[in-house]
Amino acid sequence: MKTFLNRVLLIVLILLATFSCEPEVITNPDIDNTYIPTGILEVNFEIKHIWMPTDRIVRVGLHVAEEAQLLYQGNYIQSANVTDNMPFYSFHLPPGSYYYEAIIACICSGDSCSAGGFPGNQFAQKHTMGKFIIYDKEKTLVTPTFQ
Amino acid sequence: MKNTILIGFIFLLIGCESDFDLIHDGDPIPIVYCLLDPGEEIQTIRLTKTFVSDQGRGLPDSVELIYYQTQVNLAIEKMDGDQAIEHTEFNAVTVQKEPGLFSDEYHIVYQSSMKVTGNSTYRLIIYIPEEDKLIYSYTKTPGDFSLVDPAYPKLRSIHLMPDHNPVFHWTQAENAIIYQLCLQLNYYEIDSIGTSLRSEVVSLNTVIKNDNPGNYYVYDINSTQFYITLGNSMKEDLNLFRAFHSLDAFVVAGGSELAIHYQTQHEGDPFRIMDFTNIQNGIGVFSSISYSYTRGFKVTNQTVDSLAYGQFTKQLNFLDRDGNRKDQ
Repeated sequence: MKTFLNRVLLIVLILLATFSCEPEVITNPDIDNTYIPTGILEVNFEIKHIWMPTDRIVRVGLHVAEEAQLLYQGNYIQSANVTDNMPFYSFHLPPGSYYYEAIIACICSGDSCSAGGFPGNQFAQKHTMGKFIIYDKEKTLVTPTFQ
Repeated sequence: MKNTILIGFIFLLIGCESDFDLIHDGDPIPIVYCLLDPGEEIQTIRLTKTFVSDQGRGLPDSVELIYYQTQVNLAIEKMDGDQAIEHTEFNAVTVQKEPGLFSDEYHIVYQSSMKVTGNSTYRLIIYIPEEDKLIYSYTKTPGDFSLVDPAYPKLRSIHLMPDHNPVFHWTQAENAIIYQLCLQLNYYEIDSIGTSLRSEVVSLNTVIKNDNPGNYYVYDINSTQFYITLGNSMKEDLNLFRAFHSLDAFVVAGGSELAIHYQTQHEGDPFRIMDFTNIQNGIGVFSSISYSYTRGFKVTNQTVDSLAYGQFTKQLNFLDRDGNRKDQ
């Protein structure tokens, strides 16, 4: 009798163990789990200039637009808050082709800026732009160069 | 003899007063708050006192309970070692406060014209003749410091979007360990009468920095928080338009006393709020602040459009990058 009861108990335990391990997947309807393809643009915005000390040249702007003419119109999709304390900037973008614009300015007084190749004196700016392509889950590195 | 004992018993029975006051009206404790501000020509001291309320319930319905009604002498002295080299007396000024929990009959602060210099020691002295009580405190004002970033407002535009939050860099101020990062939005208000230039300060982050940062401290601000705070603080008025003018960035540095007081309050424990005091023979805080500004930034077009149509500020009627309102 005791053996019979033990066997019944064992069967019940096995059945419970078999059927109770069905994990219920709970999904939160408020969280959109749709995967959005994204790549990263990395910009090595180092200041190099052969005619002038680099501490007298400052970063002024770094923008990304979908078309080249949109850069001229100021219709950027992203802009960085550039600083003199950081040369690397990154942008998270959906895959596709884009254009970037990088801007530097000379802060020397007198005629040092024009003598150094800037189009004007203090606060004269140089612009450069380029095309780049963003791939899903990949990094694209660009290094702006100024004439 | 028997009658004498009987009369004695009767006196004992009647004379034993068993009721007594649980709350004893002791001497009030002075409560002092003063924040020296080098950006202000007039310095202000707030002096109140503790009071006993009915069974510990309710707020005072009269301001007479919380202010000294007798003569009080207040002064702040600039110190050079043990010697006072400048002495400024403060006088009572009546101010009107906005309606709130406490009585809005009238309120008293003590003010005087006084120049505050950085990296100096100041002594606050309060004498209450009626109680022959002397209250005093010391503070060291923050030294000079610089806001390193944002910089070059003539050249750079600030981009207030979550894709690239602005980063504040600033140097350490001597005697300061608490810093508040702020943006001031300057804008035109356009109504049927005309156009006026107005400002709104948005306090973004308060950080306590006690370490040596090397060159500078770094803290990035939350752009979304800027729009939320602005949307909550500015009044909605459909009869006027607003147009962006410029943005000023500034950092406020505060002394160590202010930092401890802020931390105590920030922890939110009501029993600890009154714990910290640097006032001798009283309670409160005597501390100081200092500023570093960079004014006159433009913002990117996306920022102007976010101000105009973003979910947190669209009700403020800001014009977009083209000077339009597309929902009008």
